[in-house]
Amino acid sequence: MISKRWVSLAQKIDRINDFCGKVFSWIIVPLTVLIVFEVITRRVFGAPTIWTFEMSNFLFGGHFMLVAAYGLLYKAHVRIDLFVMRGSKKTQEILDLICYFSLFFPFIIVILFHGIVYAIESWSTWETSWSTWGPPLYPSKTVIPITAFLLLIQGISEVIKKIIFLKTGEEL
Amino acid sequence: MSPEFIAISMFVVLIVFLFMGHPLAFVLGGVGVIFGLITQGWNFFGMVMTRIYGTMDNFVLVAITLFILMGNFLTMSGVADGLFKALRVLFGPIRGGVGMAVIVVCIIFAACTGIIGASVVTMGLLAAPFLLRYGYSKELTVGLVAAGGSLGILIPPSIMLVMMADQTGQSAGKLLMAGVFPGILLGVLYIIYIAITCWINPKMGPAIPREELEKIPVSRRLIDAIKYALPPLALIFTVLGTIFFGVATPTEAAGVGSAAAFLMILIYGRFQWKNFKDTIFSTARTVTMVMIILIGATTFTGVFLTQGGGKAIVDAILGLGLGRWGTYWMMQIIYIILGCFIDWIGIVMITFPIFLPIAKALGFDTLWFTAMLAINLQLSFLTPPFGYALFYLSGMGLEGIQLRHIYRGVVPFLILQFIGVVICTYVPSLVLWLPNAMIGK
Repeated sequence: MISKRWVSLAQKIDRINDFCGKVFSWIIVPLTVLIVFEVITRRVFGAPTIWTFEMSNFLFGGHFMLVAAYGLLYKAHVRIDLFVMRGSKKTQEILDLICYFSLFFPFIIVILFHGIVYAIESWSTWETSWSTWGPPLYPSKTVIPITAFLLLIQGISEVIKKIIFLKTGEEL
Repeated sequence: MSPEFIAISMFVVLIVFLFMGHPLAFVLGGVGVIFGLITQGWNFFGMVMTRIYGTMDNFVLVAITLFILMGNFLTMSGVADGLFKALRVLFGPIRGGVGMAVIVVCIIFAACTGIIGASVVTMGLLAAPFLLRYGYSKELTVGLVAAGGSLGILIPPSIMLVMMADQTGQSAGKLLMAGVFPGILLGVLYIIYIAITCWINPKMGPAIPREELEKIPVSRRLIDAIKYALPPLALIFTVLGTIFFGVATPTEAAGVGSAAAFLMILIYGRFQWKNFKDTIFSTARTVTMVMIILIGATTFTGVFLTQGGGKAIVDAILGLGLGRWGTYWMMQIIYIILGCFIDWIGIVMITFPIFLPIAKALGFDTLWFTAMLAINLQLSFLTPPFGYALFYLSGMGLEGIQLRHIYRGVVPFLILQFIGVVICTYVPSLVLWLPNAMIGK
């Protein structure tokens, strides 16, 4: 019965990250439009805007960070599995679990905690950029802890799926 | 613990975990965090946040995202199909002609895309069945598709060169230009090889039978070639031309290029909402794959550099007494060996903090040296057991093609790639002429 609850938790997490990933993937469209807009205003009309440069960095950073967990869900992140491929599926999953606990979670938890501190510092001073436009930096800095959170829950889901596979031999 | 000991153990632990099949990005980040916690303590990671934010707030790296989008749009537009069909009949009458046509399409396609997956898969699906049907040997077919497709990441636009520029603090525009002639050189070497082997042994790659060619009049062949060659050539000129003439930065050129590639989808009538959506999603997955490795790597190097441990390894290598060129070739050979096991992003992230200081200490030009490593990495796509091009090809399930054909087929192309490395080493102007001639530096 307990395992059923874990299964439904993993499925819920997968649905969340599938949804978030598909939403955040679209950030690339305004990013492209913005760059084209900038080229036209600056190169063609000779009237550069003060805000496109920073704005495109915000969109770029938000795009690749916020879809990271979605990438993990779809196994998009490069891995060197050429040696473990020789072992059984079971061995592979055990090795990956070791990596999750010794590398993935320490890394993500450090980023999550320090990311929260980093974002709070920015919010508490209403930090803005030094440029002429002077946009607020706190939304962009908040992306770091959100990314870490999404990765953390996706990591939990992956670990659940691996443990269930090891226990029951079923793939979710 | 001495810094040398920590630096070396960081590398050993990294290598061990790397081969356990966990995503590279998290291995880099995780090893960095573990060593950071041991040697620096918890509060050290406030500094790492600044490094991570620096990766997000980086206008040059925006080009990576947009070049990936551009390549995916271009694949969706189907322009490679048309171009290949046109060039096939144009080159058809000569022995090995269809194979040469594939390489030419690859060079043109490479000048429009920055990744290798797109070109290898496109050419594998598109050209390989034709080559096999015309009676090309299986080995030659897979070899030339793998080698030609891998040019996509060397000939600019190239996400690899943008990333290398970022890692070494060089102008992305200049490094992109440095990749042009070496990439074309490799393509020409492939064409010469195909021409010679097929001329000596027509069974390797016969000409297209005359009856088939006669169905298509010469005028029709030329019109088709122009129809499908002009739009990509215009795109190449827009993207690379604007960078070369200093009209646009690589990022701006990539944005305009993506928009132009999207227009090509519309022009060739390939727009379908479902495909468009899937392209946006798959682009996001590729972008995050590349960029999150940078996040992991910046964590790793952040810890690594505070140890001052890089210097220990650099000094040790310089102290081997191999001399200037001995050390150079040793680094090239290390790249070939690493290329057999690790993918290019991993190799760049692991070796650059050590190799670049060595090259500087030995008085090598940084731009040229970085480009040489980029050329060398062409081999990494073809070297078994871990080569992207091999994976893509074997995953496609081409009729009658087995792994042994692929392994045997890439050997001559690996030799040609190495010849390319040697040529560019001793004729550095091949690399440096174009970036030095650039107007917008």
